[in-house]
Amino acid sequence: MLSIRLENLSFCYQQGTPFEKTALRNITLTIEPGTFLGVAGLSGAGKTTLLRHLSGFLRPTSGRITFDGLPVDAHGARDLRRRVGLVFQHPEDQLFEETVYKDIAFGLSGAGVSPEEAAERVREALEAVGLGEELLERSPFGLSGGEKRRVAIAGVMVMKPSVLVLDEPSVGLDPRGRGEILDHIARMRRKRGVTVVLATHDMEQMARYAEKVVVLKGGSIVSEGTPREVFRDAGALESAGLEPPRITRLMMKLKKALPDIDDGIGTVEEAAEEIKRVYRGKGCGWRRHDTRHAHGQICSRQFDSSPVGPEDEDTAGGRLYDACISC
Amino acid sequence: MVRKVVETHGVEFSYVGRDGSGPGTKALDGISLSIEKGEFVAVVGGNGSGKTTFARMLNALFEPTAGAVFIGGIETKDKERLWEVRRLAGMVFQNPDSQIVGATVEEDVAFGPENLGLEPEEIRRRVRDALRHVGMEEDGDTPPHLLSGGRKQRAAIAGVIAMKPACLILDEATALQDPVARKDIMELLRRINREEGMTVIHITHDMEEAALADRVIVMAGGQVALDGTPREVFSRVSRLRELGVHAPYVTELFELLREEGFELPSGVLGVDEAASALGRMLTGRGYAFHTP
Repeated sequence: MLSIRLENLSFCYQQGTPFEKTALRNITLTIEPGTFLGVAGLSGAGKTTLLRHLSGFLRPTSGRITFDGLPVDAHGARDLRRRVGLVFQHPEDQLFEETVYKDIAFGLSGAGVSPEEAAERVREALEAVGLGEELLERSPFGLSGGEKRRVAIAGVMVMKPSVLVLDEPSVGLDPRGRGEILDHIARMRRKRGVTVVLATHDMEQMARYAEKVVVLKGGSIVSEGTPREVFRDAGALESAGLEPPRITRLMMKLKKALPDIDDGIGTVEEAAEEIKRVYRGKGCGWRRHDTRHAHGQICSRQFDSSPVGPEDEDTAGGRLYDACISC
Repeated sequence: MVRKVVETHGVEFSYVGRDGSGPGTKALDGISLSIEKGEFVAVVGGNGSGKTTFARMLNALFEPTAGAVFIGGIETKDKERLWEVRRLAGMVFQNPDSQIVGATVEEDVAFGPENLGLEPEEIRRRVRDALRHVGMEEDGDTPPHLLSGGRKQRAAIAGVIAMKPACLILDEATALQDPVARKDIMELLRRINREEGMTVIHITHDMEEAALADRVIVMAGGQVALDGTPREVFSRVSRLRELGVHAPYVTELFELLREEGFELPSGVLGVDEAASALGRMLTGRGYAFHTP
């Protein structure tokens, strides 16, 4: 496991030339082993520059970055890159081999790995990204966009990195491909305890996967915390050009009328649970003075049983459901 | 004036097999639809559903293997009028960098009209109008590479508008953009549609964007699987999942709650609308939730 610490890190492109551009300003951040860190921000906010420091591709202009307390050179850049796997934007552009197998195994050549072990690790990497072995002998260029991207990610995973750094891995993929890639990465992380750093501007993904989020704006961190803390930090988020997930915005609006509702929620499933909780807590008398429930509506007292249907109807009208009368 | 901007009859298309012989996979399998002037249509579908092939069919980059495509009443197979078809079906691609050719925004927008062989005065007028439509009158002299992603895409849209197309076809034109640029492009498209009556065909993977259209077409396996208003299409949550897409998040939440017996409206698309319906259910009184 590898712990990464950035202290007052700043980075300037083409320093000392007329094209000088500061991309990161005084970033202080600790990435604990095993965390799922989300890096949010608009294009140009510094996400990619930050990610490139994490695998030693860029060296800070000022400040420092340490890995387990040591600078890049103490580990050796080559060795460090093996431990911190960086998946670039559009990694499928880097596929080049004749077969999927050769492409995934490429990083292992020269790493002193026996052919048997290589074969085993390629299979594991393929499984980790959720692809089937039938693809191994195919040409990577005949695959769909989502499959290609997963092959490229497998080529990084095969090196068994302690930290997996992903720069907008789902951009340009269809909804199914987006969900699948991140679901597989989250599963792999749970299984192997890998640290994941994900750059994205999709706040729904942050809500679903990240444990901690940093929001970048103009190269500085403007907000930091758990997804729910960051979503509630509406001013900072807005200044960075981002919005909380739609579900969070819905919950925030509901909170105005229902102060006890949890407005830090960002996913559909959690919101459904929270709404059911609030509904249950209301008891039966909350809605109307009589005890009638319309068809299909649920008596809160019997919440876990099936919804009441027309067969329960008392044709005499008035109080329709016994369960509700006792509520 | 032809009211039907796009008309297709039983369109099929097969890519040529890998060895160059015989037809390969059927990318389009019997598409019959028509799009009228002034419609704002979103086309969604998973990878490999045929969306991009369909767009290229409209622009006569591909010729149907069976069936026929008409743009503004002209059949795309008509070789004599190929360039007219391409002018009428204006395409905007995913990456503005692959579309922009000029050294300044003005030059770039003028590129198309110049190639139509128009008089210089007419070219100047068209460039001016196109830049005004996209809100970039001030940026005529700016080199495109200095623009943000969203404004570059705006410039690309101006370049297409200057050709006076019958419709704008955007092939995942927001996919590579960040949230601010996406919103910017969507607002621009809605405005051109509303104020200029421009027909817009927006291919996207973003269901929240598709929800802003007047009509949503879901493609799957080279066919039109669903076609209707966003409300109609997105209320079919489980069917959408089978088709490899999903509904907007609040729509999904409502369908999940409805499945469990809650009396909530179906096909709810926006956050405000959803908050009002849930607020009514949970507090028992009408509650207006409006964005300040």
